[in-house]
Amino acid sequence: MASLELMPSTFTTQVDLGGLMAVLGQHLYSTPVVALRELVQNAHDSLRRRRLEDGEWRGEGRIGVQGDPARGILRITDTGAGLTDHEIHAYLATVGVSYTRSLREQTHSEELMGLFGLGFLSAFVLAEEVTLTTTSYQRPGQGWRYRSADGKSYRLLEVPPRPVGTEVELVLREPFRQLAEPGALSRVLGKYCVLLSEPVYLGQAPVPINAVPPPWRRQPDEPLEHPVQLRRRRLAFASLFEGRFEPICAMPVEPTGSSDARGLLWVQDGSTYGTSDNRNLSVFVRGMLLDDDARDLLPAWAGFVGGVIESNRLTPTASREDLQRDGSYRGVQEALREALVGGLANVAREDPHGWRRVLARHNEALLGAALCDPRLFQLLADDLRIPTSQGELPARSLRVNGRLHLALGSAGGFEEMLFRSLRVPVARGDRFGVAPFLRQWVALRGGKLIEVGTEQGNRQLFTPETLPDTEVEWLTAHLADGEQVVPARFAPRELPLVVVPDREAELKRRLGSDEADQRISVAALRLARAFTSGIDGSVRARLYVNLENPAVEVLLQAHREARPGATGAARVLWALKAIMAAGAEESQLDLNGALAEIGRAVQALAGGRTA
Amino acid sequence: MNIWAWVSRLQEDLREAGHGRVADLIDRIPDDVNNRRPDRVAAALPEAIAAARSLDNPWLEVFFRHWGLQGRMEILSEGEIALQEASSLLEFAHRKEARECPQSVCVTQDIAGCYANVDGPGWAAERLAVCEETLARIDPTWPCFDCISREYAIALQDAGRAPEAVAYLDRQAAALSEAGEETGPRFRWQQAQAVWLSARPAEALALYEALDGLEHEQAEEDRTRRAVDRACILVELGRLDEAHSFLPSWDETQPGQYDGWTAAALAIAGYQRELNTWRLGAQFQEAVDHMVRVGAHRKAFRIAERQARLALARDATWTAARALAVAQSQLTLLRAPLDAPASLEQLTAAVAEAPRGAALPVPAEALVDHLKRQEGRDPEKEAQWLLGACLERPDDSELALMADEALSACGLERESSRHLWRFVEANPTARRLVYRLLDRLLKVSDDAGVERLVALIDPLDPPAAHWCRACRAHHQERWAEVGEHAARILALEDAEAARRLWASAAMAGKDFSTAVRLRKELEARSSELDRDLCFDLLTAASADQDWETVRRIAARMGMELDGTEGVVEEDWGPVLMSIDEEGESRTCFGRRTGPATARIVEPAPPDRVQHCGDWVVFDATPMEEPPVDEEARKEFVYTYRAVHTLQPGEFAPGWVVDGAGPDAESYERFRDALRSEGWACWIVSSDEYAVTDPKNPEGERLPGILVLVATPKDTPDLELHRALKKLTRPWPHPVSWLALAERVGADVDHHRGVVERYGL
Repeated sequence: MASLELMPSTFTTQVDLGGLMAVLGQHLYSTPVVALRELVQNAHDSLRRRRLEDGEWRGEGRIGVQGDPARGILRITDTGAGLTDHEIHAYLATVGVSYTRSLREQTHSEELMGLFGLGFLSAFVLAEEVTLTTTSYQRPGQGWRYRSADGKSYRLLEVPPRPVGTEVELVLREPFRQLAEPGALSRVLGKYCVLLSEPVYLGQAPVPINAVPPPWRRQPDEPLEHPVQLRRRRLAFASLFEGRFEPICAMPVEPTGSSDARGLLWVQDGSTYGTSDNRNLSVFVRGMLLDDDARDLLPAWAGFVGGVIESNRLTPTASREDLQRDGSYRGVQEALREALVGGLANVAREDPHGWRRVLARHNEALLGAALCDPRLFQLLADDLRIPTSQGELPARSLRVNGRLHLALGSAGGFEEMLFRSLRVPVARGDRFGVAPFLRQWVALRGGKLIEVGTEQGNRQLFTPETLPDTEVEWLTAHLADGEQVVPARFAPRELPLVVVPDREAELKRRLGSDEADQRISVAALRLARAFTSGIDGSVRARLYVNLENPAVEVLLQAHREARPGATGAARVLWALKAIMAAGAEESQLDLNGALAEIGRAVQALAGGRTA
Repeated sequence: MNIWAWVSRLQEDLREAGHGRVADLIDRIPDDVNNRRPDRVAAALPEAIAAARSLDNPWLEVFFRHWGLQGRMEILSEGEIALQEASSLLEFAHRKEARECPQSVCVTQDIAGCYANVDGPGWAAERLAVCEETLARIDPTWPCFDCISREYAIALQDAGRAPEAVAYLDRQAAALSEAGEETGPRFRWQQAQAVWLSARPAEALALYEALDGLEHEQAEEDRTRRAVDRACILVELGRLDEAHSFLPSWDETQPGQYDGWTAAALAIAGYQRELNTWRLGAQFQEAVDHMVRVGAHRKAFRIAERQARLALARDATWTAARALAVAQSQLTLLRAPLDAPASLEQLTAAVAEAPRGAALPVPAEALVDHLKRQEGRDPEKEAQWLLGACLERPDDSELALMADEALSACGLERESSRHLWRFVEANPTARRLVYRLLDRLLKVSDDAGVERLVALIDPLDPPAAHWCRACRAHHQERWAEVGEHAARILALEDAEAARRLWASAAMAGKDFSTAVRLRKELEARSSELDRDLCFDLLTAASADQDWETVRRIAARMGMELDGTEGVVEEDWGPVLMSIDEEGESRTCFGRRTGPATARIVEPAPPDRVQHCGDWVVFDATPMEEPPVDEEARKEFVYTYRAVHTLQPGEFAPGWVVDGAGPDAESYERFRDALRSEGWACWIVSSDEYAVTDPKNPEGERLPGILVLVATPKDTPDLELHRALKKLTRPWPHPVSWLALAERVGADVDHHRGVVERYGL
């Protein structure tokens, strides 16, 4: 209606917007919905401004968002302060000048969010034309209409006044037209605006999308809620923010120390393993969702935790999608870690059912978490299960006669065979978190951890004994293939002998070989040899002979009495040794010779003739 | 040259082949190293290496082990103790199957880095040679160029040639820029450090400030570490207040920064004397201990020296002397002593001149009482006094015990053990000290130590020697052996503690009659009513089915029983039983049948071990106290820990009945009918449980019910199924027992339909 346009004028913004819009579109706002968020934020700020400045006004705050998918139009209205023509020039057209910011600085109101000018310009990321119609509370008799296709040049007309407030109408660009669909709007705004204090109405809906207040916001005089009721409300709220998993139990976040963060953390349903990272944290700053993937605010070990918090001290980066890593950030980080550690302890105490689910779902991730915080370790030490040769067991079930066994060697070594015959549970040191967890566990609960597969651990399995030199020599002659014979006592007594390679000696041999000279650069090899020169490499393997074993006992007796069968019997034990060692990588023993030896023994026992 | 290209390709292949977990570790482990999370690296590494081996992928093994070493060296400053792995990896990475892996270059650097921690200046020449050799093999397009150039500069700095390092880094930066590569924040940090160590602190400070202002992920990761350098520079510039504000707290500091941190802290505490407390000394001690443990000899030497100087400044000569001893022992481990002997000589003289054995505030015999009356105590000072007093009064147990406490409070476990040994060797019959030492030895499972202690005291105090053996057996859960030694003690003296220990071992070993006998003896010896003992005796006697004793003790404690003789099996109302199931405890309802017995009435859920019908003995001491509030007390149900099953209930696994509930009266009829068959039935849902109303799915939900039912093992499942069908027929809504229906193969579709309609 051209006749109503009293003062058509064309103006240009005070910066070159071409480049800026490209940046906004492509970099700053990686998702176009952020631009929509900025517009709602502007509406919200406008309402807060009116409440701050227009002392008389007691009206209903209202933000409306309507989409017209057929025409590709999106309209955002508010009953806020509105703008005068002067303000339009000053704030809509000057990038970086923000009325909201200066007002926030003057009033210290933490409810104001935006950088109005920049936020408004973001509308051009979505729209091919933007029309803003407004009446300021300062001049209720005046109306203004701003219209621009690119944000760069705009026309400003005086129009008949509307009720105080603003309406922004976007003619959406083709790729963004789906934003006007009610479903899309509800999805986007349902997430971004849920914590806003002013009601946001979508289309004709009678109830605002932010009608349900977050469970941590309580009026001072509100009665205390029943714990069960509160727990349910927290879980329901949590599930709004947890797309992939169901929350098992929720833990409150309260302001503490230098952190003003309030909100909720929860443990996700959905199994994790040690290094899974499903951390998910939504951060609201001044009521608006700023970052829905602020996972770094949660501890690295919390791969099974989701959360939503609001804080007014966190500062958005220039892109308005991330947070500055400043002192407040670190304060909130610290507070979240505390809330999580304390919260888990509460769940363990007050919600046994939830706690069982937490343990069942995240046993492994919790093994890792316990290592990162001594309080968590205390909490979890007896509840977590350790993968062992006999299935998953709590650490205390591993303790047999005060000892716990942990296998660190590679599969197929002598240890595996030894433990199969020992029949004690052996923790699997090759699984996530197991070795460090058990080391801490014995420090807390007592017990001796035998780390089999390390030189020191291996030796703890055997108690050396002495035999006369002549007997050791005889055993060496008949049983050994270059190993050093060590008379010892060890469990199980059914096992007569076992070969334990000396891996350090093996390393020394390899690094000392000519081949190493050819392959490894001189200076580095010299350093490695400086280390191996301190190793006594004379013994490449030890043959532990079990003096508790009845067969060994009889064999030694036969030797002492110079019985004729002694040598043949020793050959059978030699064969047994060779067969047991056959699986080991380093074994070079004659397997077929050993099998033939057994064959001969069977023939002799059966009374047949030996070849 | 993209040396990581193979890693990304491998990651994709691994994901496609279903090895997502290993693929994740390829990102996770380097990320945890870069973000300085050594605990997580240690947790994940064994699994990663095992996975690489089982995939038979030597390149991947080299990759993981390299990152493992990086964490150990950079974050934890490991020296000597990492050499075995560094050497072994060097050998492995150069085998035929692995040598083409680009990370074999990094591995070569790992061993040099390890020696940098062992004794940086002492091994500087060899490290320079390794870097030169490696740099000759690569060009500036390799990311290693940046990294090895920095290593080279560090080696120059260690050799006292910092100005050369500045020039060298400038040349390398030019080479990088010529090749079109940028210098990263770590390179710039190294440049700044070289400038600082070239005695140009003011220029260096400007460079550090510029780095702190950088918005870069890596610059951010290193911020705390750089702050330690920055604090040191500010100290050099005499700006100590600023230095103090920049120095990260001890809790934020990792071993890689201990060297710089202690240097800055020493200087700051020299200026602000109130900061020089025993607590700061304890932090230095922690740093020294760490370096000694990991075989980082040069750092251990330096920090021990600083600790000694710090201690001298607060007149803790005793601490200074101890630190000096550590520095002396580390000196012998340095490859090249360089300036160390001279500085040590000077320190030795300072310690020798410091006032020895500070004068006691009161005479030695009055010291214990004097200290007990003090407020705001300083264990370091007290330890010094107490050890001095111990020398005067070598047989005073009270003094020796208090000295041990003071040493422990300072975190000096080794010294306190040494002190206890010294005292016990001189006074083998001082039982309190012997037992204090025993506790210490058992805590660290030092078997050989216990043996030594036993051998020491056995000739003079055989009962105490048996007590030590009994405690060790108890600690190692060898219950029968506890009894053997306790019996020997009791043959020699009437020892209450031995009886108690034996009784507890007998209970754990299920030798209930012995436990009853011992506890009866204890009870007979106590003149007053010992309630805890009576509770224990009730438990033991119940487990032993010694009902006469149960009745007698119950009467003593004022519990009223209905009968007067025979088995005690009465109805004492509901009780909660906490049952241990392989490490997890489950709480379920039972009926208490006597002072320490109950019968479980709540069936277990389908996936849990069935305890329903079990007749169990519990530990008669309640697990929680009843509420103080009178009203709340009425609702309160005691929880006890079940310790033994007298008779198994022989119930089959439980089934769930779920759906919209009937009115209370109908449910009671249903429940009573099941129970009259000898079956079990228990509501587990709360009042809030609600299910969908199929007539109005969006509207108000219907009150729901979740019931567990179970039958004895010999009852056919079909019988239960039929009974449920008959008994729930009159209910307003159909309910579901889908799992049972599936088991018996009847009405499965019906039950699925109910689950569907009611949203169960």
